[in-house]
Amino acid sequence: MRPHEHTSMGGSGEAFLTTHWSEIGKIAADGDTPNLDLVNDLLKKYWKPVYCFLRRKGYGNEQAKDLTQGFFQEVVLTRGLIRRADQERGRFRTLLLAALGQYLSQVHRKETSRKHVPKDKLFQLDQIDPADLPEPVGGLTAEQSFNYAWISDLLDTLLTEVQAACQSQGKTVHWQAFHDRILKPIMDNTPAPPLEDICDKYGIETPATASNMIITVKRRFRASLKRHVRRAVAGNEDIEEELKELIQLFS
Amino acid sequence: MDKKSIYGLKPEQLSRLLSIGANKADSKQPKTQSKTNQETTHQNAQGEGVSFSTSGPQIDNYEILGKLGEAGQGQIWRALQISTNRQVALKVPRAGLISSEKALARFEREVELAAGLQHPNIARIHDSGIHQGIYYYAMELIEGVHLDEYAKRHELTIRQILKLVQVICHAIQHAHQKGVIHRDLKPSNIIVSEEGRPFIVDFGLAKNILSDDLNLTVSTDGDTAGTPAYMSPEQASGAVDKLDTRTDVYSLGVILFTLLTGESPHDLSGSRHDVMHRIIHQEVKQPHKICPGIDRELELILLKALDNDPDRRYASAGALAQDVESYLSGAPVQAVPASSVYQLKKFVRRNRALVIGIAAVLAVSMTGAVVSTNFAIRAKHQANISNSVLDLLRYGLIAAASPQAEGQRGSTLESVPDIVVEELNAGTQEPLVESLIRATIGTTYSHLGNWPAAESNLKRAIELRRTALGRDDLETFACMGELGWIYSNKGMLSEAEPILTQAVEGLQTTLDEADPRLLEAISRLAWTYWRMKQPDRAEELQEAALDVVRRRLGPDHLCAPNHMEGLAAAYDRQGRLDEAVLLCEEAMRISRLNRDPNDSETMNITNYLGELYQQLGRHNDAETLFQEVLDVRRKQLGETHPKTLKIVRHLASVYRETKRFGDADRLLTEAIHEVDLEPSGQGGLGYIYLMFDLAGAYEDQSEYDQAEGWFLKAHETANQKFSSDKRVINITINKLIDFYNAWNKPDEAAKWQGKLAQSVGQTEPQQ
Repeated sequence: MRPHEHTSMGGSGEAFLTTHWSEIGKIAADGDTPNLDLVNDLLKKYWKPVYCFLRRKGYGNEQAKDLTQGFFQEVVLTRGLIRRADQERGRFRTLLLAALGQYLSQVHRKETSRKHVPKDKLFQLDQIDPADLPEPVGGLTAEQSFNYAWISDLLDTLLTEVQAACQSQGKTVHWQAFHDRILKPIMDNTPAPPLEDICDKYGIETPATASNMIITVKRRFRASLKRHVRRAVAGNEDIEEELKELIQLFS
Repeated sequence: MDKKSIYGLKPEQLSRLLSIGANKADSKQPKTQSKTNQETTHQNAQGEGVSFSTSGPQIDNYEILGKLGEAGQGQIWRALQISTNRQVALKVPRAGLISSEKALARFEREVELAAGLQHPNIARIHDSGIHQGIYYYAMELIEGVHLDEYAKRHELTIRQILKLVQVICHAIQHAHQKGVIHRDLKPSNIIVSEEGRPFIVDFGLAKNILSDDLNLTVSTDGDTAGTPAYMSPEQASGAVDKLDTRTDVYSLGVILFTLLTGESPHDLSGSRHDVMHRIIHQEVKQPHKICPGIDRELELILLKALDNDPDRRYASAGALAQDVESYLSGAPVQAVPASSVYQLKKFVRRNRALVIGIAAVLAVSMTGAVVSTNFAIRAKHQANISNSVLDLLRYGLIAAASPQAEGQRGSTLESVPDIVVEELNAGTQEPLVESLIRATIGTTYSHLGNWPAAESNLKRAIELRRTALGRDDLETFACMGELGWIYSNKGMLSEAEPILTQAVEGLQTTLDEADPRLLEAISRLAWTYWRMKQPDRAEELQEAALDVVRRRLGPDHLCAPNHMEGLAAAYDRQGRLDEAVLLCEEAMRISRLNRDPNDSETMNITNYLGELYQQLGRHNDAETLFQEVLDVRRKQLGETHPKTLKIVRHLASVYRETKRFGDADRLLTEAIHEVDLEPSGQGGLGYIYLMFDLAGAYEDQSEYDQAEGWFLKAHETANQKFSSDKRVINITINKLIDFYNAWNKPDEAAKWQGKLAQSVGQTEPQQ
């Protein structure tokens, strides 16, 4: 291979190493030893979309939780679900959804291999979040529910991240202006307040300055969003595709 | 932020939130947002509140990725257009100009003009608008470098530069047809993509000659818009009302001039005012003085594009492109003043075989007419007419006979010199006129491979000149160079060497060191040394010549390969094969870069590289090259041209070395057969050698009877065709002696030894 040739994966090695794919990669490297930490790790990160999906498939709360745990065990222990999808790589979200579909058809055929790991050693889903489904999921298909939960998690993480970053850099007013003018109107479904009001409220000199401050946070948000999406796709070229699809899912 | 609130949002709210990251959220804001935007716009129009940070302007739907540069009144940024996920070049006015209504109007006009142009070599406008009072437009992002940088980086040849500029001319012509003149054409406004495709990118100073408001198009504060170095005289003088398409033609001329010569057509030292004064009042520099590689026609094209008087320039960029095309294809160029000789030359060049016979006969009869009335006509007038005739002969005949150009051949063409010679011999000619005609005809015969006829005409030409002038002049030296080369080609090296040396020394006193005629003579002398087995002298000469070419004409100049080939041969003869191969491969590369794929010189080099490969035992590589050359030679020169026969021999030798005797036999027999069929029987020495090779092929297989037959036939043929040249006959006898010795027939060998002694006895007293 010539020195300048890249692998077909695209993107830099650095970006790739920190993706979800590397977590899956650990599974393959793990041999036959059941890795409880890994199962728990995946559970913590991805349980919500899986759980919502299962609920919309008609499973009750307890059964859905069991199946969610079972799914991640299956992913880690047998590796077949992931390996098959792994060949095509692509987006982690799609992969997980496809693996979940396969898992359910397996469940229908036989009892799952949950017996490998005692249930009480697994991460308890109801210790963190309420078992009740969020209201909007009620009107969605199972797959939409999965995506809904996926996006909610994503937004939750990155807004927390952006807010924390603003605060740590002394840009609390920037964040507040962004929150009031952009975030809150969307979340509350209300008109955005005029820039002048925001200036008055936070003692910002001119509306133009306020506008620039908001744009600063928006750019940070955008950067953060991209970073998160990048972690869930195989190569840089898929980022925009995934981003576009996420936006279009519910617009 | 309350985390739980996200988890309970409606799906479309999630989408809107995500859209913040895609910069779409604003467009979905309730109405108060747009009202505020308008207010902000108003404020910005007053010059308040907006400033660009070093990170660039903040415009919705665009993520600034970096600054690309300044252009005219604006700044250009590399940006990501988020909605389409494509990178664009985003242009915004310079910060100081945001508040200027005039600047805004001008910016709007730029967008309007550029957006109206749809051409593959003009960067497209994707989007434009106002965001928070900042006018912007997004255009196609061309990943590439400025035109001058591209030409430099890729070391473009003259031909490549012309082709590139031709494409640019067509793009500008498109703009002209839409009524748009650019007014600021310069290399930095033309970006060439990695694939070599040029794009015109900035219409910041453009105007629409059909509809623009004059006030709007005048540059700021009455200053002259445009970049002085590329400005036309009318632009420099501020005659805005006089600007039309020809202003762009001038700028294109400057661009072409600069790319070809590496210098600006005007002296750019001093103040802006000084430069503009020179542009208005002075003529441009003479291109060929800066770059000797620029010939007269190309120079005239440049000078026509750069004429101070717009009326004498090309009327449009399209007309300039057309003339460049004509130049490239060898058609008459518009820039050359119409003269019958020029047109005739071009006509003859393009219709060689068909026209040449008639034209030459006409020319000779014209000369006769002139000479016969010589007493009544003043010398000057006579000289003019004679020169016209000679021009015709020179360009017509030589070009016609030059096989590389179109490969035309045929009895009509080849009989032309005979007809002319007949005419010459019939009447008494004015000596200098006759000498020139004979020189031309001699050279023509030489190109046709008919050396005896070439030799006699050249000798006569030299004699006539020396008698008439009492000294040797440029023309005499040129004839000597030609004659010496014929001797060299015939193997008469001791005759060739002094005459070529004299020619080189003579030409050195009259010509520039980089003159192709001198370089060619040097190369011929070097080759003669090479043939004399003095490769060190050949090396010295070729190295010096190559140095001149590289230094004066450029490393990839089309003169370089000939000297490189000669130098490679000198290395080769000294056993430095690896060096020779490297040099020859480089020569082939340059030659293919500069010339048509089937060019005769390229074929010579290809052939030689094949020989080198063969020496190194790379038979497959050699065979491929030889086969290619043979195909071209056959097509261009015919089956029986000495050069074709030579390559037949090379290919046959590869067959012999790889023990493919059947192939060798077939190839050689066919070639001999072709020569036999030729009515004039001008197979030359090559014919004899074909027989030697065929005999050798049989000898290789120990089929001595067959081999003997061919050696004997070679001897007979030499007796018939080369009766006046005992050397050839003696060579055939020597071959027979060697052969009989190898066959272990000493009696036969002794018999031929006797014949040789007899033949040499006949030869020597003549020397």
